[in-house]
Amino acid sequence: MRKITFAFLLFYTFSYGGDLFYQFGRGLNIDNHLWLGSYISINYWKKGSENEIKFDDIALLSKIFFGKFSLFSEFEANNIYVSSSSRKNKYWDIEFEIERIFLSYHYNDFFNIKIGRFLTPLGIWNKIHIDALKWTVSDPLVSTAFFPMFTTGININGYFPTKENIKYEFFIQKNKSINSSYNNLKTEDIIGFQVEKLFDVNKKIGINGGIFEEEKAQEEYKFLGLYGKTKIKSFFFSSEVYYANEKSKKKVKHKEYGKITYYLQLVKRIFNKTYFIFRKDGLYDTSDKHHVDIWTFTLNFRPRFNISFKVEYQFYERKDDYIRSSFAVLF
Amino acid sequence: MKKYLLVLMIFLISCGVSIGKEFTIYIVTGAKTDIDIKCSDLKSIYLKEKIFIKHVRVIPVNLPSDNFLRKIFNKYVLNMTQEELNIYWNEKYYEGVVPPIVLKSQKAVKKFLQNVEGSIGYLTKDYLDKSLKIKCILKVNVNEKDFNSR
Repeated sequence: MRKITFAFLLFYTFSYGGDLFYQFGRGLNIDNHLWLGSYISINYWKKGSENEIKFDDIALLSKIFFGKFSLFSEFEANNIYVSSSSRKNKYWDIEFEIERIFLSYHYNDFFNIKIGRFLTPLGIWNKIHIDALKWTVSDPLVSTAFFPMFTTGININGYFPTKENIKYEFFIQKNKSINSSYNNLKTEDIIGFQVEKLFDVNKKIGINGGIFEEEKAQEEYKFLGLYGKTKIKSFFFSSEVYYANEKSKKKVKHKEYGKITYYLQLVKRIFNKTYFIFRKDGLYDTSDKHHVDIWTFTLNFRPRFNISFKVEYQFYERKDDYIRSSFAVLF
Repeated sequence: MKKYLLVLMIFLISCGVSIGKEFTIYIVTGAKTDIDIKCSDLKSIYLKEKIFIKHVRVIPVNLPSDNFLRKIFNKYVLNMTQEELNIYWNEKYYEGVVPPIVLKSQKAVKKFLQNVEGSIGYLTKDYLDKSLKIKCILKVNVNEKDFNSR
């Protein structure tokens, strides 16, 4: 499947005749019918005596337009080069995986449909989780343990016809996943929704929720989230809060428990091309009543809009602190 | 009375408040493009939130970022700074959506609009003729600062 899709895209790209236009950071446009993009990222982290450097990502993106239909794909190679204190050998390995592939149909502003493997359309972070787009090196807890990052199924979205600037998303998966190994939580059964009020490009609030079955841990998750972002003077604020109820299907001591997590992030440009970011993450788990608190401080230097170099310090309350760094480019 | 007005004017000037000058921007398409465009939809068209009007794919066209008319358009229509636009288009990149195409002059924009169905651009009065259709007229109060950046 992966090889056939990849071969088709390569064939389509090189057989397509038309005007070419490339801008560094905005991809290659061919005759307004085909777009190609790419990004890379390199990461480093250090915790106590452990450290790791890795060439984390190379991704190839494409979008083909035909009338009101479009076909989007993203192929990604992860962990291409890894050198760490815990491994004996450094290694190189490049193998592209399907990260996203979906067919979209745009009927009108109120009704659009996607079929395939897409980013689960929830909240703020999940939609921009790659290194070149996010402000920090690390991800908040929200993004890893409350819903799967990817869904293979159907997504219906658009604006409500009667209420301007209110957007809805509905998605469902009742089938096997495309590339099931490449997801934070594995599921073949998920249903979810989101309603978002847009005040401006920099100001929105939303609510979302869903139910899914996690295959590996054999648990049923029900989750509900709230999120929002705004800009006040030169400060960009964003926040997400999620509550999840997890019910185990196995015979265990704690059959049902809940967890709540949140983050609050502040971004402020401090010099011409340098931003300071502060993020506070929290998680409370009712099964063992433990809580996690993380304070993240990042400097993000953007010499150009598509290049990001970050240095980060993370304070953990009960663990060693992390020092992280990354370099990412959109092509 | 005159004395008070004079004092008020001196006060306003000293506070950096300038008196606006009306500037007109014409939103146009080629004569063959048969779609209605509302002025209120311009922001969503140029941010590629609205991509079809009456089943016609809308192709917004921009002037270079240092062009005076583009600066006025960004400021008064999009109401976004270059920094905000960069952040916005970076996020859109991940969905395979890129900023509007940029043509080097109003003359080039005019030629593009005449040839490409669904294309939409902004021009000043000097470039209008029968080969173009005016879809909406924007009158903005441009302040002294905008003219100085010309």
